[in-house]
Amino acid sequence: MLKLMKYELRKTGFAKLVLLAVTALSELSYLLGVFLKKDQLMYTGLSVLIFGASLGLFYIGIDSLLVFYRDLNTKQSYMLFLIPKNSYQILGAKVLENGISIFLSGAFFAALAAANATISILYVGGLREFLEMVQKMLRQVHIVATIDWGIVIATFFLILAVWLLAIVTGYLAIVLSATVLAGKRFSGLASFAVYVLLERVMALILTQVYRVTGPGRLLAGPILCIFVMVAVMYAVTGWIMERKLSV
Amino acid sequence: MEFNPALPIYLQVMTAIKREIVTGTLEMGARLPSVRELAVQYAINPNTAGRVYRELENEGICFTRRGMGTFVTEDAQKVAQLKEAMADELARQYLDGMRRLGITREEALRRLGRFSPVSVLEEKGE
Amino acid sequence: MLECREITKKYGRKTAVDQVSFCIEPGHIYAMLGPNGSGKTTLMKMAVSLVKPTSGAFYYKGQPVGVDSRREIAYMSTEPYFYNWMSAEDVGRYYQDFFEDFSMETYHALLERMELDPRTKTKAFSSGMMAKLKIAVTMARRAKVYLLDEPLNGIDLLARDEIIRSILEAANRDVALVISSHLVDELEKVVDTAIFIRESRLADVCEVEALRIMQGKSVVDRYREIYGHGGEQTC
Repeated sequence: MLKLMKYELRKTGFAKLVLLAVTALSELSYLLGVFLKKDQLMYTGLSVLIFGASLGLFYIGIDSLLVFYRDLNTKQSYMLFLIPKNSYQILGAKVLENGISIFLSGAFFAALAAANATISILYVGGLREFLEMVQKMLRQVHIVATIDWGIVIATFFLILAVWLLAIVTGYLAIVLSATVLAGKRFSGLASFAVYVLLERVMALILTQVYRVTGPGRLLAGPILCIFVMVAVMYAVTGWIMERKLSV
Repeated sequence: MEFNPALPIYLQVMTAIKREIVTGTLEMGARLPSVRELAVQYAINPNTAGRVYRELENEGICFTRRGMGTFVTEDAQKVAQLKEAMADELARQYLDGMRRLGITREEALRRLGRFSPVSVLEEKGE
Repeated sequence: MLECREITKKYGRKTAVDQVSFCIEPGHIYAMLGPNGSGKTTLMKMAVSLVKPTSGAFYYKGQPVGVDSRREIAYMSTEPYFYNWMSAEDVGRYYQDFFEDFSMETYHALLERMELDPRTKTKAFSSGMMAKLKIAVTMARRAKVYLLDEPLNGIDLLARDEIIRSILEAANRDVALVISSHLVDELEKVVDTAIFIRESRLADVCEVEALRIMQGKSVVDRYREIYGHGGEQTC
């Protein structure tokens, strides 16, 4: 399994490297802006960082879908399907590698954001005073401006989990278009339609679960539900691959 | 090896080996290549190579010693007989070919006289 | 050892393979012959479970083929398939990672014989080099069955000799090789059995030397008989 994951990482490595480079450059620009008091650099760096973080995760996800598509629909498929590993192992390696990448990247960006926020507060003139003013204001109106870090982190995980689910659903759609829908007209459109449908269904299930469990302990209910759905998607996709896939 | 694909390969390889033995290229008692080596050397199927050695052994031209390999016979008389047999075969083929051309046996034999060893070689340009 | 029973593959209305049955035994080298589109490639792909049959099945040592049989059956496709970001050396390591019977030593020896630089990325390979790499990586495995689809295509004359040599070196009592090729005459001396596929069906299976002994026919002659005037010309 590890070996499969190693190669999955190498396949998606380029996209991740690009993201890392962009992040590094923009972070550098931001830091230089803060410490050299060059506002322009700072704002550019910061906006690219924010833009990069949100788009970056999106980019990694799409890239992994593209890699999967290529792995099923070009001759490179032989590399994966001639080895003595079954579809569950192959798909599992992809899902795991993706999941780990998403969560690590997410954590990385979160840490970066926290670090940058701290630096901002400490070093960017005016910001500290502004925040103190805001806190004073809120205290006057008796709003306890405490941030429940637990919920923040849980929401963060929720977003990442949702993104992973979206990708795994994407895998299912791609497999469907390569097997059940293969050769039929409008297969691309059909698999996209299936994808949208599945997303709707899952959103519905999720809202029901949330209604039942509420935010609970750190959004445990919804997050668990999402992971269950990821598992289901994985199992179904793996089954179809194993039984129906011809490359 | 130039070979005729419509004729049994094993026979053609056997003839090639016999020729080497008769001319002394393969000395008496010399070790022959293994079946696999023979297959690679002549680019033939290993089963065919095995058959070559089996048939040669049947004819007494070579013998196998377990674990050591296959060797050319050390019997000089056997080699001489082989040479005779191969020469006779060539002669037979010549006379047969001439007969099919409609040339009489006497004429065929006389033709041979026209070819001295030197001129044959000159023709070949060797 | 490797057997198909009434195996059929249909793509919609088109039948690629129609109820073919034959058995591949160890200790033999087979030629699988037939024109383009006769079903040879589909048959080989079904033997390694790359393509799932419509009906019938392939069995390896009595079990239906699947993931496990790939450990002992090596398939070489006609098309190039390596990740183009890999070098020849990377491809070797990939095979080593996933195939227990892969020998890096044999691989390097074969690369050298075919004059391929392990460090070059496959992106930069010509079609001839790709063809050689495919062979090298396949024959570096110590498999029990080799299914080679057009191994001599696109390969220069001298390299063909090297490939035939590596095929003969891999052959032994426990191993079976199946070679599908258009170059029928190149295979005349090398194979002992010929499987003829015609229009998705099995047309004939001949023992090649017996064909010569009893009928005075070469494989090419028999090919022309089966396929008529459309018989493949040799290069």
